[in-house]
Amino acid sequence: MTDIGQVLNEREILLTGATGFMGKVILGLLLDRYPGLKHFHVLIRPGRGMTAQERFERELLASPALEFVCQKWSRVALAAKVTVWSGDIGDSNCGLNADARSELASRIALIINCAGKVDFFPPVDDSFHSNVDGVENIVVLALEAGAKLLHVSTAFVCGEADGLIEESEPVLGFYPRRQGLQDQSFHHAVEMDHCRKMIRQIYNSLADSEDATPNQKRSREAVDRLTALGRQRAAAWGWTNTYTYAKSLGEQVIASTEDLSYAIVRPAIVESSWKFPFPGWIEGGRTSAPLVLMALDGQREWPARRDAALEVIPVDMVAAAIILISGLLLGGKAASVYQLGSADVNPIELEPLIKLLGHSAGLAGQGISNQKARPGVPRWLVEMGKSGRTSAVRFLTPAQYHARGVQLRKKIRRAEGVVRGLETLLGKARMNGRQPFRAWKTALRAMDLQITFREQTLDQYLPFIMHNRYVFESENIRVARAEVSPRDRELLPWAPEEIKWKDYWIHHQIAGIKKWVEPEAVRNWAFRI
Amino acid sequence: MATGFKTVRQDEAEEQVLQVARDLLRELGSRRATEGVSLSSSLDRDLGLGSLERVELLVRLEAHFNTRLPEEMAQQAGTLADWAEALREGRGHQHERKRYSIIQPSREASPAPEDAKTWVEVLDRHAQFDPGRVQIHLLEEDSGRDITYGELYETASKVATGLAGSGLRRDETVAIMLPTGDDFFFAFFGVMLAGGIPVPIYPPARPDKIEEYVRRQILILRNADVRFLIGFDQVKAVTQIMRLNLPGLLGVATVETLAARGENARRPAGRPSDIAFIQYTSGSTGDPKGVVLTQSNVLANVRGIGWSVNFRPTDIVVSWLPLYHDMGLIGSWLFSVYFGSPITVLSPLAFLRRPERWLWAMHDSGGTLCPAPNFSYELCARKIPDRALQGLDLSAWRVAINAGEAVLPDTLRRFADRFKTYGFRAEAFVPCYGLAESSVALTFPPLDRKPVIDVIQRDLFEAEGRALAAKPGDMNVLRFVANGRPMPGHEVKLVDSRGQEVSERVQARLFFRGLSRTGGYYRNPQASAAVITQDGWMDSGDLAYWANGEVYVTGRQKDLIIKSGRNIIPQEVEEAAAEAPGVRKGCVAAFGTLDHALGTERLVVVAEARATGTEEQRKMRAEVMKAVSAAIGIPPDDVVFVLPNSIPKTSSGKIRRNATRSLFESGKLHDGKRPPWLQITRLWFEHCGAWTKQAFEQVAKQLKTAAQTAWAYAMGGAGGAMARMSPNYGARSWIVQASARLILWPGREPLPVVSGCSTKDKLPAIFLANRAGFLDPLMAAVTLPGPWVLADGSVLRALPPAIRFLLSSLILPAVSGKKMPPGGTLQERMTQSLRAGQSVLVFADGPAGLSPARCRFRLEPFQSASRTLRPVIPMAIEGTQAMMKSLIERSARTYDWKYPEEAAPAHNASRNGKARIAMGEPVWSSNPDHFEVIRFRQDCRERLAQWFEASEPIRR
Repeated sequence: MTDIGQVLNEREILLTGATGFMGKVILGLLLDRYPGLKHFHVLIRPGRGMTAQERFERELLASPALEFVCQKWSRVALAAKVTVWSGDIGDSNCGLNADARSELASRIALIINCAGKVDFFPPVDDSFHSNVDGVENIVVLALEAGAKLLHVSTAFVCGEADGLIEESEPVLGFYPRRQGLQDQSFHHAVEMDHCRKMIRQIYNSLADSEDATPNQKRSREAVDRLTALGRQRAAAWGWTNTYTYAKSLGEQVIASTEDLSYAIVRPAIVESSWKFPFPGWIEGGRTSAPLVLMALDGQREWPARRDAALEVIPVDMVAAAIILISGLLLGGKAASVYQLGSADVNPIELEPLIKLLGHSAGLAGQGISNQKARPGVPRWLVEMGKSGRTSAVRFLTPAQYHARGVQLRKKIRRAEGVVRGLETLLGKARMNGRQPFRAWKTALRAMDLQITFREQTLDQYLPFIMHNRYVFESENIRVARAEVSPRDRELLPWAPEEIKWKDYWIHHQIAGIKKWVEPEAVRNWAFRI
Repeated sequence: MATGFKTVRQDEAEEQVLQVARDLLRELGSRRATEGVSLSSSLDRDLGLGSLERVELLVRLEAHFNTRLPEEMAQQAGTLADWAEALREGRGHQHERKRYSIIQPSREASPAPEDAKTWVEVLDRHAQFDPGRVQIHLLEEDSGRDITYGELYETASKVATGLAGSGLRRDETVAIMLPTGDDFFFAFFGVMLAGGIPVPIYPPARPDKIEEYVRRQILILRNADVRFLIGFDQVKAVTQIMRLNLPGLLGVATVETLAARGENARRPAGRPSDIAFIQYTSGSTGDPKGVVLTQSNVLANVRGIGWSVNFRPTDIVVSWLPLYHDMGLIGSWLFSVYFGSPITVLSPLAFLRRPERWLWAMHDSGGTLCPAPNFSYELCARKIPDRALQGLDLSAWRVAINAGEAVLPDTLRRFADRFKTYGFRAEAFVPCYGLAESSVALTFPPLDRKPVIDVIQRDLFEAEGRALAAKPGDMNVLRFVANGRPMPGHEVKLVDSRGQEVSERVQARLFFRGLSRTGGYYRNPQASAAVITQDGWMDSGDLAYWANGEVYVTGRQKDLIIKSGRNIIPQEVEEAAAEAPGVRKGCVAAFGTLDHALGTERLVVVAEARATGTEEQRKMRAEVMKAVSAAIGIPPDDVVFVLPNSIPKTSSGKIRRNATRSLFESGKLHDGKRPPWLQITRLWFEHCGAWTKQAFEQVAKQLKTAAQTAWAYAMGGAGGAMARMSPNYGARSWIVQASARLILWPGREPLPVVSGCSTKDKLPAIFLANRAGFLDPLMAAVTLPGPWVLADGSVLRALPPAIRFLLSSLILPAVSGKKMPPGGTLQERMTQSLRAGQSVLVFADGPAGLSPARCRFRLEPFQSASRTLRPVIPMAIEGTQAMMKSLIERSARTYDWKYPEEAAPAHNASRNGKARIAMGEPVWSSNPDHFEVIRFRQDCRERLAQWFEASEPIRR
């Protein structure tokens, strides 16, 4: 029986990626539940015109996740417990100078690496910077400090799959199309070398036209080619995107390091909080938010597999699990891989989920898009932009879905033609009343853009809702919970089987997205991909 | 610009168009020439004009009206009235055509992927390294289209997904029946990416040859055993006919429909020894044979060509060659794919219509490498008017490969003379030799050398096969062009009829071996064995002699005419005969036919001519006799004139001499052509029997399926209801088993064969099964001993409702009194059932057909087994996938079901067999510790995989 409180009171911990969604909740939960912890270090990258300390104060302490903490703790008390270090794990030596580094290394007993770039298809060197190089640097730091490493990865490193993903699958040599254990065709070091060589080659071939240093602003062509490289390296082995590919390489870097005691935590889709800091807190539009917004916007036709479960897990459960595993890791009892999913005990399949979303969209009336707010546009025109006649949710194959998009666009072109014709006609006849047409034309144009936007967004999600089916085995965390004291179990709730999905989706997720994720942000994000 | 264009009055124009058309038809020998030609006649349906004839019509009308018409007219005009209208409207105004502007990449080609082992790897490498680099400039009528490596890869991946999703498996063949166009490129790599084997065949170009086309292609497609046919919309009628005769064919598709099916390509890794594609030889001699080329063959050949032409990163390739043929496919396109040099592609029809377009394409793209057969150089030298060449610059052209048919010294001279003023250098000519059996190229002469022409004594050569240099001034000579030396990694030897290598300047059969030699002909071991010797030499069937260290190819063995003890080369006779006025160039066949009365060969010349009058023909015959005897010293025994397009040719335009001989001997040479509709109808009638049979079978099958479904519903419904009413699981299991047997009985579906260890005294246990197909639960239901329950209802999902209803009565019961989660966890439920004496059937989670080594199992069954101290019995299932194919297909349609690629072996294994279930040795564990349980699971999985491998006599 491990007493987590006691373990934390004796050791110091370094957290990277603290400014992220999950980092904030980990920090908040830790300070809230274990106020007696010895000392905590956070590594923050200076950026957005702020130093690390400023970011800590403005982005972290001001966040709702730490609201309760700030109420309970005085600034002085907080400063005594938490040290902010300025650095970036992607840079060599984590961006720390020698003194800071040796001081940090002498104090910490555990590193929780929560930093990572969560873009599905970024230029491959960007992804490598935080997800591979960063991991290599953190490993070096951990070895130097003699610290243990808890690395937060993602459950989707499994890549293409249809069904259960076992936690006991060996990390080293894994690639999604591996044909059993005797298949040794993948080696992460070889793959990393190859990929880095290709990156260098791309830079060299562009060298005459621009600077060869990766950090400077790159040309559009360089970005495109690096993005395509990542896409193809991932696809060649069966990973669904560059992000999961790089994450898996990072995992294998850790697993191949000798003398490192580590635990890899793989959460599934991390969504709005269950109870901490309060039900329904979410930040950033990186997870299922675009899909939810589309559903609320009246999307009725989905290229989705009915029987696939959406592997969602509330953020505070993940944070609780990470703290629990940290305790066990410090106590030397942790397993090497923890998957954090919900579908193996309490699945919600896409069919009921999407119907639920459709239903709540119906309740919400027109949804939250700007579609309704266009005066002077007749109803039939608005209806035309919505695919499908009935309000029932339909499931389509991707081909059907794209065909539908083409059909709709044709319809819009035709309508545009008619409107233009009418306008010219009235103009020639020197009649008044051309005003409404302008609004109609804008509406049609907006509709066209919207269809494209939806298609683009959905394309990003096809691997998760159409091509694959995921059930992440999450046994190890249950076993881990059995090993800690009852009090810790209470302080660190992990209970995916207790989530009532209907309730969770309506009152936590949808409400949270409406409140905390501005639709604009989602749109910006989705267009960037 | 509009020089000499005059406005034509309507009726006048119509009358003249009709007259020109009638003249043409008469010359073509159409029966409709005189009667029934009106302005409203459809060009292809009524008049039977193919694309080449339409071009002829275009050229004639242009000449007649002294104008220039839009080229599209040749293909688009439906009736003669369209032509008349075009002329009247003066659509011919544009004299000079707009040319598509080609922008070459600013960077040099990246280094070629020298360590790549497959073509997929080559494409991969380029697409990864520089996806935005233009690979193909495709010239269309007067527009064009650029295809980048990225686009090529992406679209090909989509096609690959489409094919895999439609059921294509590794190493199965796909016929590509597409004209030059972007679809061809996508289809070709699409098939490769899907792990299939592309079989390029030529698309039907001429409606009047449709019957011959279908007959020849069906032989090819049958021999290739194709699974899919990728065609285009216009050839639907043709593919429908073919479909009836190809039992292995799974479907006919277009690139568009295939690419629309998604983008998540699953790609089997290729090996260098995999077949890259099958190249059906044009078969100028004999039936079509599929030359099998492996990935390494083709790569070796392309690398060899690159070495021989001293490839530079700035090189640019131009090709008008058909893509279904080795020189266009490997020699041009794949070559450029490999080296990363852009290629400008125009269609063969565009070239034939206006040969100058080829030269302009060279000019526009700054082309440096260009392969073409001899006749295209001849065409350019003769046919292009000077005014079409103003401003042409060919000075960048550094390698002009002349291969694919006999290289004629005169053509080289004529072309070089004519285009010297446009910057063409005679040193650029590279007359080389190759054949499909050696991928494409075999020998190359050194670069930057004027073609070397060997002048030899005719008499000695024809009588004894010795090629002695002629004395200066000797008129009775033969001339051959030097073809150079074999490429690196290849060897050539000349062997006489006794199997001895011959000395220099003696004609003998050419044997070769090397890296790009084919392994043989596809599914034709006899033909392969006949030409490949034990030590790896292959008989090319061509004749050649050595001189000064270079090989001089003289002709094909089979075409050789032996007359009065002399060996006569048919090309020479043909060339001479073509010189006679009135004879169509390149449309002459010379061959020997056995005269039984005299016991010697008779030399026959068949020539196409437009003139039909007897007087004209008599004159022409005399001319031909004169020309031939002047050339070879003896006159032909017989000269036959036939109508244009009567001499059979191969897809690449070579004369099929043997086919002409058989036509001649059977007296069918003069048969007129039938209109296309009649040909199609004849074909339909021939296939009518097959079609009716298919239709009847279809109906019978549907009736049978309907009856079976009704029966299954009755049994499933009754059984399911009774099972639910029965008190305990022993009775339930019994009822379900009985009902399942009844469901299977009327279809006479064989019950699965059960083998392996006895389960006696080991029950209750956990049965651990892989998933072979959707019917697994049903098969298990008729097999499993003792009371049992099913762990997970999701395996029933794809089954028909009746069976689902029946089997769902056996789903693991809930633990009463458990609230969180309701009914207890899976582990609690399993433990309860095991304690109550019921076995639990657990299927692997995941798609059906996955090999047991990759099956994934939840941990709960192993936990409960070790807690209750019950055994786990591995149960290997095989062959259920194919059992009720129709049933599965139906459910697949309902459930967006993908046919898993891994299912292939099982599927193939029991096409005629039964399903098999093999019970393995029980595995025990008594340690409920978490990590022990994980090890237990791993152990059980390995046992299952071993057991599966061991218990499969069908597959071995």
